[in-house]
Parts: sequence; structure tokens; C-alpha cells
Amino acid sequence: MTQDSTRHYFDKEEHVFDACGDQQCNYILGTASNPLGMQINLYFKVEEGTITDAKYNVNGCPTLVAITAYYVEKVIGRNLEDCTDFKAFAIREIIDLPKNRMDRILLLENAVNACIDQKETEVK
Amino acid sequence: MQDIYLDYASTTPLAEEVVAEMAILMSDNSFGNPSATDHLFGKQAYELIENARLEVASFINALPDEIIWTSGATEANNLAILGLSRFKATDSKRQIISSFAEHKSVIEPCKQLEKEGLELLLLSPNANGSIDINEFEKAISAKTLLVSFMHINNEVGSINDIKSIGKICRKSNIFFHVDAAQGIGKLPIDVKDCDIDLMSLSAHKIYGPKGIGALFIDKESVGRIEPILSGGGQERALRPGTLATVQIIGMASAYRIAKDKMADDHDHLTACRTVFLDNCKGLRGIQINSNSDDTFPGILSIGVKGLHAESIIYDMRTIAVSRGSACTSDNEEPSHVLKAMGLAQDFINGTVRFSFGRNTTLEDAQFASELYRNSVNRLNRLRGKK
Repeated sequence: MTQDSTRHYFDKEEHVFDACGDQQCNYILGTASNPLGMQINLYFKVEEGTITDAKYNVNGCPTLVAITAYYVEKVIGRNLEDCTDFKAFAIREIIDLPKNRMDRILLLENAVNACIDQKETEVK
Repeated sequence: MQDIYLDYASTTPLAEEVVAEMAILMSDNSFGNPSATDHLFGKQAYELIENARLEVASFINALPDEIIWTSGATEANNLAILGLSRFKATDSKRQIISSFAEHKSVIEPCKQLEKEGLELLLLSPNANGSIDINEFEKAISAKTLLVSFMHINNEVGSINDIKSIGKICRKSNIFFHVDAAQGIGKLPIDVKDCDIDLMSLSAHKIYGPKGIGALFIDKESVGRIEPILSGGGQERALRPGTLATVQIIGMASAYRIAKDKMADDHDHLTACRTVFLDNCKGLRGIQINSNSDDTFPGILSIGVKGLHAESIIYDMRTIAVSRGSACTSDNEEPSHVLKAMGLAQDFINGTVRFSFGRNTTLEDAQFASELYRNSVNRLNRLRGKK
């Protein structure tokens, strides 16, 4: 089941950020990378504290691609302050996440935190 | 659509003829222990094995008693390097020269000998993945005991100039070991003409069975080496253990077929490679890791800057290929071969090895290249690069 979901979200492209089409919209960007050359760029559109749209660019292993796509799909409509509550997203129950790949969630978390930092900077 | 197997450098399916020969043996009276020649069952197995030994030996222009059966090329490499060095090293001759591009079953025994007090020099391959003869000639000295290089590189397909290296070694009184696991049956190799002292052979890369291989040991130039296993007198006490009759027959059968088909196979693999590469023309950011006249056409190693090979493979779904060498692909260490060739980490991460075989059709190669192309484009889109 989780392997099917991994495949499903790996194949999804619905929320992929398109530099040409999406650039005009007002997204905040959070970026995170690791020494293996994997990278996530998260784009949140936040209106009155709510994430009204989210997109991503991702480069890495299939697990990372799948958890990013899954997370972005689920984060839309949430409050910005709730978006780091990773337990609520139940990623591990949905995506096949081998033990040696748990760090991929940390990478995602770093990108989300970078988005929040960016929003806070904007507000200040 | 059925999955397409393009991982022939990792292992090959058994040839039909090999299966047929092995199947007959499994059900007849040659199950006897080939060392038990006091009875008919043992004698029958013994004779089959000696005929197979003759066949394998003649394939490389060796004598039958220069062939020692092993469990595969990994064991043969260990036996050659450890066995020769431990038996022949002296105070004045105690250096081993090999290369960073070798298989781990060569590098690790060399490192073991270094721990035991011998000197080890690992040369870097050139950008094509092969040994530069001039660099090699500069590296050898009076203290060099053994040189070990592979024939065809398993990761990128580069071919070493075994004949020139052999001549230099013979002239300089240095033992020369060749790991021919990937090369045997694909390119002709004559141990006498190439001045090879020891050569490791496998069967499962040329449509023979797994679990069987052999070590050629030149009778005149080497003679004895030290065994690495103990507990039996088989194979002149160099490799104890009951011989695997069925696998040995399978190996000889695969060699016999390879002898007939080698030239046709080579032409076919060249055609597969050409079809694949023609279809990849214009694909941005790709680099072929070894692509010269000195590259074996059956192995095609392609890197894409910035992408991750695991995702490319996952995205292609129905194409069975490897990233780096199959033996180490379950860990995240970058390929030591690609690193030694001086490739940037960006390209190493994105390197996929396609390896074609006798059963690959041109349509397979075309279809695989289309999937590869689509995957590279899609993953570039995901990461925001058009």
C-alpha cells in the first residue's frame, strides 16, 4: 500500500512549480539541501495566515520526491503555524519510508522552516 | 509491456544450450563426487570435469592443468592476489600495483596485503576509465611484485590494453594478473600472447551459471601460489572443496557458445549502443562516461548532471538497469570507479549503467532510450530545470 502511494506521489506533477508560469504569483520560497545533492524548493502562497497554494521543485531519491509531493498536496488550506506539525501529516503511514531514509523528512522540515522564516522576514 | 533487462554487465540469463546441458547432468549418473574415482559415479563426474577444463583452457590458449576451478571471479581474484603475493613476496619484491577502477574483489585483497606489510600503489584511470600505459610504465620499479588490472571495466566498459601491459610486466619480471570477469567471452584473449600470469574467469556474465569461475595460473612463470582455503586436496590443493560438476559443465558450455558467437555478439551490441545513443542526441546535460574506440559497446554508462540515478531508474519503471556497480548499489557510497575517473559528484549521482546483451533487441534499445529520455526530461522539470 505504502509502495503504491510512493509511486502515486512520485508520478504526480500537479503542484510542481513552473518557473515560467508561476513566477508572477506571490509565493514565499523555502529551500533545503543535503550533502547527497538532494534539494527541495517549497513555494507557499499565504493569505491571512492560511496557505492557499503550495508548489515545489525537488531533486533527489524517489522517497524524497514522493514525500514532498504528498506534503504539498496536504498542506494547502492549513494555517502556516500548523504546517510543521509533521505527525498530523502521517507521512510515514502513507509513503514507504525505509529507516535509512528518515533524514528525508528532516530535509522537508528544513524547507518548511525556511518558508516560515521567509514569511516572518517579510512581515518584519 | 514486459520489463526489459538491460543489466547484462551484472549478470546474464542462462543460454538455452547451457540449461539443456546442465539439465541432462542433473538427472543422470554423474552426481558422483569427482574426487571419488574408485567408483563409476565419481569417475564419470571426473571425466566430465576434465573435459570442461580442457574446453575452458583452450578458450584462452592455456593448458588444462593451468585452470583451477573456483566459486567465481571474486574468489579467483582473491586467490590470485593473496595466493601469489603471500607465496612470492621477498624483501626486495613486495609492491603490488593495481588501480582505483578495479572491482572491490581486487582492491580489498590488495589492501589486506598492505596491512600484512606489502606496499600498495593504486593508479588512477584516465578520463576514459582505462590505464594510461605511459603512467603505468613510470609507476613500476624493481620492487614491483604483482600488477593487477581488469580487462573490461564493469561500470563504464573501458578496455585496458592488456597486451601492452603484459609485455611490460614480462620484460620487467613482474607477475601480471588480469581480472577478466567482464571481458571473457566478449573480446578474444590469449593468455600466452598477452603474457598473462594469472587470470580470473567467471561464467555468469556470458550466459553461464552463477557460482562457478576459474583461475588461470601459468605453469611456467608462476607455478605455485599459496591457497587461501584449507581442508581438502582438490585442485592440486590450491582450492579445496568438492567440485560443482553441473556448474562446471555449464561454464564450459557457455564458453563454447561464446567462441562461436563472439564476433556476432560484438556487432549486435554495437548496434544496440548506436540505436540508444542516436535517440539520446540533443538530451541536455548528459555525459557518456566512457565512449571511445577503447570502450566495450555492451556497457553504456551515462551521467546526467544534477539528477539522481535512483529516481531515473524508478521513473523508467520497466527497464532493469544499474546505478554504478550492482555489487555496491545497495549503499549510498558513490561509485569508486567514477570517482577515480575524476567525474564530478553531480554526474556520479546521476549515472545509470545500461548494459546490453545477446537477447536485447534493437527495439528494446530504442524503447529504453525513449524512456530514459522522458525520465531525464521529467525529473529536470520536477527540479525546476527545463
